[in-house]
Amino acid sequence: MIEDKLLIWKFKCGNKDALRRIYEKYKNELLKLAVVLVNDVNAAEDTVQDVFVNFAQSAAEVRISGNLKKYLAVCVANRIRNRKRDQQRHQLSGIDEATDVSCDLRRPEQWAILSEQLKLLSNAMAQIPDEQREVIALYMQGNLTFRQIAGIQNVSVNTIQGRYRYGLDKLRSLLDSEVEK
Amino acid sequence: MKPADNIKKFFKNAAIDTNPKMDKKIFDAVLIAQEKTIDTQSAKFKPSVWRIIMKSPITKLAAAAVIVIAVTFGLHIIFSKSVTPAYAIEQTLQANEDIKYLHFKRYESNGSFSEEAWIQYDQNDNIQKIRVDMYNWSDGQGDIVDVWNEGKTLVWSKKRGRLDLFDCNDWTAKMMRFAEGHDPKRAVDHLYKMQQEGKVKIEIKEGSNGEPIRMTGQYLPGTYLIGRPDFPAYNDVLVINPETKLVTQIEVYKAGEDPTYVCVYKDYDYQPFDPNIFDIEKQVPGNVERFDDSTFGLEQGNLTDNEIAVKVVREYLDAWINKDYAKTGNFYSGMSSAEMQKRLSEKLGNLVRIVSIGESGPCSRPNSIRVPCVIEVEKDSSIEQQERRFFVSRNTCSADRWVITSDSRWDSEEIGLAQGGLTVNEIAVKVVREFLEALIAKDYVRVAQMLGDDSVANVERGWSKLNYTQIISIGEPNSNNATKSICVPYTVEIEENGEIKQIDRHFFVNHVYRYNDRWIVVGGFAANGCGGCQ
Repeated sequence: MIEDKLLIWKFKCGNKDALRRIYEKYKNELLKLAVVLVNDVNAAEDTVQDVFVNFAQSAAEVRISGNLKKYLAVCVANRIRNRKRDQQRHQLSGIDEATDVSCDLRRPEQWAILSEQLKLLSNAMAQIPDEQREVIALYMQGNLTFRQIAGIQNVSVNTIQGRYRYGLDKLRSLLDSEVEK
Repeated sequence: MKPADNIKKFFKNAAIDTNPKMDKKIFDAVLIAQEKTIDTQSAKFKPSVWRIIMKSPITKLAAAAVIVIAVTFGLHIIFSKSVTPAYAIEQTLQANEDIKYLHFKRYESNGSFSEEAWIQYDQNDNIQKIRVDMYNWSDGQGDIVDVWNEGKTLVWSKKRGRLDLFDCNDWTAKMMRFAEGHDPKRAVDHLYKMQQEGKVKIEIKEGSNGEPIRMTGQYLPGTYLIGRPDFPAYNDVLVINPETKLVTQIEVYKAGEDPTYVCVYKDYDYQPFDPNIFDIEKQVPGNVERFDDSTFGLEQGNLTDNEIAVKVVREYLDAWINKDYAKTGNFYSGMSSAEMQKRLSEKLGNLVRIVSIGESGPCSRPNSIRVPCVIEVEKDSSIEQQERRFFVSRNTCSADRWVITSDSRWDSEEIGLAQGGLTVNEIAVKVVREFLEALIAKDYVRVAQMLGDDSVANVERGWSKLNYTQIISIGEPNSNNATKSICVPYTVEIEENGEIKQIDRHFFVNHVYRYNDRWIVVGGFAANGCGGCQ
């Protein structure tokens, strides 16, 4: 925590090494969070890159007193939420699920390398509703409290706890079935 | 079974690593962003040591007073700069207040006319009706018209010859997002708010002699005006009529050293239009099939999710056996009878009998239940036993009803290859090598999987004519703009009429969304090489 506060202070003073240290310290954690939230490595990579670029440009807005990991985790969650909202616009006419669809080409090189266990977890997370997934990911991977997540989702703490419970039940059954295969 | 508290352990053990080369590349981009900000940031934003150390109430009060003065002074400077030109964004905000009708068109960077929309507002400024005409929509879906009115959305797919009614919140939300994202009324309001929050830099250029005003909003990465999620930063140029102060055009550019023109929203018109524009029922020809999407699929009743998924598949297969294509379409995301007949009878064949329906369960496709089946299909006078996987999920417009969203001979994991940690070129070469090896080994199951083709029999009929005996070389892949795939040239040895010779050919490789982004062979085979197809 103290290291983070010092890093933020140095970063706010324009110190490149501090930014490098923050990047090195949190990139994997944020990538993991993004992967479990979006279940798409490319989208997760783009999201985390955007978050760091944005962070680098917003030294003036970052508070020294805040928790850096939680701050970055919330940035990732918000960006993914925005991304999903925008993508839904592109699906405006998408009634034909059965139509063959080829995606645009991927980036030439992959940034994140996922373990099999993370792939399993991410696939299972993709099968639970968005709100529940966000609660579980922010609580387990982002280390946010239920109260903080309630603030983000704009609902009561009880609702968040309910979403956590239901999501966890579903996740457990999905992971059980995967493990049994 | 894993106990509940093991989920946390699962999270902890789910490891991730990064490619060091990409790490450096991405951090370099982050550094550039920081450097640019430092260049433009005034010293007042940097925290000073004394501000952190001196925390006594008096010091805080003094500091607050200093900040108030500094901020007031700063705002004065910013404000006085922003009012230097005669035009101010507030004038457009005010002019927008009277808008009750809106009509605009969208043109892509290549000049093609892609979209046209009409929006009508009520007296309280709420969106009342929306119509969007999308021309030559992606994935070969042709022209599509969406109309939203009183919570119901009608979608007229001209090429498919169908009119769908979506009486559900899901579609209402989609239409509202579209309208709110494209409407200059909200766009200018959004731009103004972002300017207040310091998230956008606005430049105003006033034209002389009655020429339009050009207001450029330079967005920070991740912020945007009109729905564009996939790129880091954009510039929007709002062209404003100097007399009415209303937006007449919005030009969109990808930001960067060399801004790229993306598209333009133009011909903004705020005059009342013919109210019949929203009445597409009158415009849709009588021969267009009408569907109410909330009726598709089967009601769940008291069945569990897994039970209803099996029931949907069984009834779908029964309807296929009976050649009742209208009924099969009802179970298959509401496809029309003609579409189903084409898909089933012409492509897959006639279903002779259901051999077995396996246990349903969750799968890697989001919100879907997988139902494995074995069926006997007759095609071209031969009967083939096939394994098929059906993917069943809730009807988005009627949560209690279940529909089949897709089916495949293969599980996603069997089709083609996953990219893993490979680059695009590496996976393309790997796919071609595995495909060629399967052809040489005459392993037509694997050939079919590498093609994402359902029918091994068809694949064998088509591909057994090639007598590939040995891979000589696989060349350097290159991307093909026309097909949006990777072209991989290769040289093989073939046996033809007892003679061995070498030939040069190429395959196109791509990753396919419906197969969970697995990489497969999607085309090629001609002798003209990769270059000839670009």
